[in-house]
This record gives sequence, C-alpha cells and structure tokens, in this order.
Amino acid sequence: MKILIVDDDPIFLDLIEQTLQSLGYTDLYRALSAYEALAAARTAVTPFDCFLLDIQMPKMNGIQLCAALREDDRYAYAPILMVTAMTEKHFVDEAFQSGASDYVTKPIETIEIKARMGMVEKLLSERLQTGTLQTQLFETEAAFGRHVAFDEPFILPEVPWVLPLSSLENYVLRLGNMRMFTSVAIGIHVKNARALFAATPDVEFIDQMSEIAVIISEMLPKAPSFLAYAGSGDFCAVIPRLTAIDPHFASMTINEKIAQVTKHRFSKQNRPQVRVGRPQSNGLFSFKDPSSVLDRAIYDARQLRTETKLSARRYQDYDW
Amino acid sequence: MTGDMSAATARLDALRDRFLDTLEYRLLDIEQAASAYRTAPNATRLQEMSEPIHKLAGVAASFGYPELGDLARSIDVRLTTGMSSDVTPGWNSRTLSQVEHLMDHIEQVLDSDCPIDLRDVGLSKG
Repeated sequence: MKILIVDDDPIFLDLIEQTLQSLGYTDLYRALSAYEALAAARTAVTPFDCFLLDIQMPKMNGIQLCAALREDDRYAYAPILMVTAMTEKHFVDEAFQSGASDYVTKPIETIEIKARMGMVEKLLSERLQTGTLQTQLFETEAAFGRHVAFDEPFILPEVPWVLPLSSLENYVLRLGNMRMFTSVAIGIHVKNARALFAATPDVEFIDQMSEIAVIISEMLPKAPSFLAYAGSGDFCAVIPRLTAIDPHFASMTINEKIAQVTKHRFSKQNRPQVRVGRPQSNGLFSFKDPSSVLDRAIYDARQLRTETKLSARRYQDYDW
Repeated sequence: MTGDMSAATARLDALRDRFLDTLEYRLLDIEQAASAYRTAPNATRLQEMSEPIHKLAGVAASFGYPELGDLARSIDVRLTTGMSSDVTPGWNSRTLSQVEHLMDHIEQVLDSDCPIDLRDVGLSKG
C-alpha cells in the first residue's frame, strides 16, 4: 500500500513512519506541508492508496488539503485518515465534510493505528469492487455487464458530498455518545427500492439513488449535516438535534420533489416513494456502540420493530 | 520476532532521544513567542505562540510524556479559543501564566532526562 504521510513536525513523521513500518507498511512517503503533499499526489505516476494528514499546518491546513485531494479523480475514493491533536467537534465535522474517511487523535498508539489501517485495507478492497469501478460503470456496464447488489452501500459517484457509509460510521464512532448527543440520526427509506432495482439496469438504479440523495440533502439543515447511502434503498442522515425535522412533513416534501423531478420518467405507481424515520439518538451516558444509532434510524424508517444490531448489508434479510 | 521487536524498540528509543534533543529548541520557541506576545498581545503573536505548543501537544504523549502532552493540549485548546474570540487582559495574563507553567514542566523533563554524568556534577542541559 502506497501511503503519503503529511505533518509539519519532522519528528512526528519519523514516529508514524516507524509505527507503520513496524506494522509491515513499507511503501511510505512523507511531506512537511500541504502544498508539498498536493504536488506529490498530483505528480505521482502510481497514485497513492492512502493518506495520513495532520490538520494544523501553516498556510494550507489538513482539512483544506483533504478537500483538494478529493477534487482529484484519482483520490476521490482513497482512504484519508486525519491524524491530529485537534479533538474539538467542529474539527471532526469539518474533516468529514471535506471527505475524510477517518479521524485519529494524537497521541498515536500502535494498536490504534493497526486497527485503523486494518479498516483502510478493508475499505480499499471494497472500493476496488465498488467505488473506483463505479466511475467506469456508466461507460462499461453494457460491455462488461457489471452488476451492483441491491444491498450494496455503493458510493454515489455524482454526489461526492454524500459520505460513504463507512465514513459516516467512523464519524459517529469518533464523536462517541457524549458528543453525538447534540446530533440525531434519521433514516430515509425508499419504499419501492427493490421494485426499482428489479425494473431498471444497475446504472440507472445508481442514478436514481443519486437523484434522491440530492433531493434529501436539499431538505436537510445546513452544515453540519451528513448523509450516506446504506444500500437497499436506505439513506442515513446525521443532523444537529436542535434542527430535527418532522418525519411526516419531510416525507411529504421529498416525495413531492421526487414527483416533480421524475414525472416524465415514472408513472404515479412506479415513481420512487420515500419514508422518513423519526430522529434517533443514544443516551448521553449510553454504553451502546455509538454507530448503533444509524442502524436504529434505518430500522425506524423501515418501520421495523426488531432492534437487533445488524450490519447494513443484512437489512435486506427483513421482508418489509 | 524477538529480534524484530528489540530492533523496533531500539528505533523508538532513538526517536525518543531525538525528541528530547528537540525539546530544548521547542522550549526556546515557546519562550520567544510568549515573550513577544507579552510585549504586544495581538492575533498574529497569539497564533505564533500556539504553533510550537500545538506541535508539542501532538507528540509529547507519543514519546512517553503524557502529562506534558496534556498540559500542552489544554493550553492549545485555550489558545485556539482565544484566536476565535476577543480576549481580555485577564485572559492574557492567565494564559501566559499557564504557558510559564508549561515551560517549567519542559525544563523538569529536560533536567530529569539529562545523562546521569551531567547530573552527577550538578549540570543540566540548557
């Protein structure tokens, strides 16, 4: 794995390089500033697979660098880990909004870096199957007959600001229940997603979900709000608690907008129909896994009674 | 495996020694920036004072100095807050007093990590 580490403190670069080497990562590159990193990333013949970025750096900070990297097609889906001493929520919010995949706070510990890099490897292998290939999907689907699975939480290539589900999970995990208390999760379920999936080529289904994502986001409060596609026609949003929306009104608004946008393509019976769930949150001092709130939000949008912890991929097991 | 681990430990020890070598310069940077801010408190000088403290907050605990890291981190948070709001003379004075405390702590670390022969003869680094 080709990794670029960016930090303006040379001794921290040495430390993290040493840590990564001890974990078996040897293809390591380093940059002492965001500008140096950007130049290295843009001119690399073989693109980097992963980035580790400090936040507080002079002139251009790590969050700005992250956003700049995401604008480059080669790094649109590359795992970007923020490694920083900044623990305040607004830095975490800004980092994920700029496209960070995960957020690690200093001081670093080998065991934590090992766990996060394990996630990076998993992400990379998933992205090879979904994300990166997805950008080619529109041109190559006819030729190669590529398929996406109905329950796949694929990346929506046309709406880059929609986070991958894994990033939204990481965001919620990094905040923890205490800091997540100021936010709520809301599930948005496309009720006839399975019928849409069955009736249309995969590329069109991705397009439909992208279109719905745009409409949902227009209804969400302004930053800091986050939206991810979870597969099976499910979306999950994390929004500030104080701006929590009314599920019935939100469902109506989104459905009306979908009707307007798709009136020439779908009959009334076949057009996408969404249901917005009630806002969900964990208790302030809850011992629950913080990311379980995302599962519950999707369950609620689906009007499922069971609250067993399941991964997004298994939502389809329920016949709704 | 044991050989690999001891090699890794040796490399980390060498890094830690390098960190201690740089600590003296970090102390000087903080001292100069604090002195400049004391003379003329303004946003630019506050930013300049926060930079070496922020860096220290990022690395000290990783090299085995959690207390130093925590102290630098709490001042870093305070300085970040100060940069985004209007500060009062009272705030300046409390902040500078905390920075003084941080510098004392750095000196203690430097003294305690001096080679034993220097300490034996009553000398210390810096």
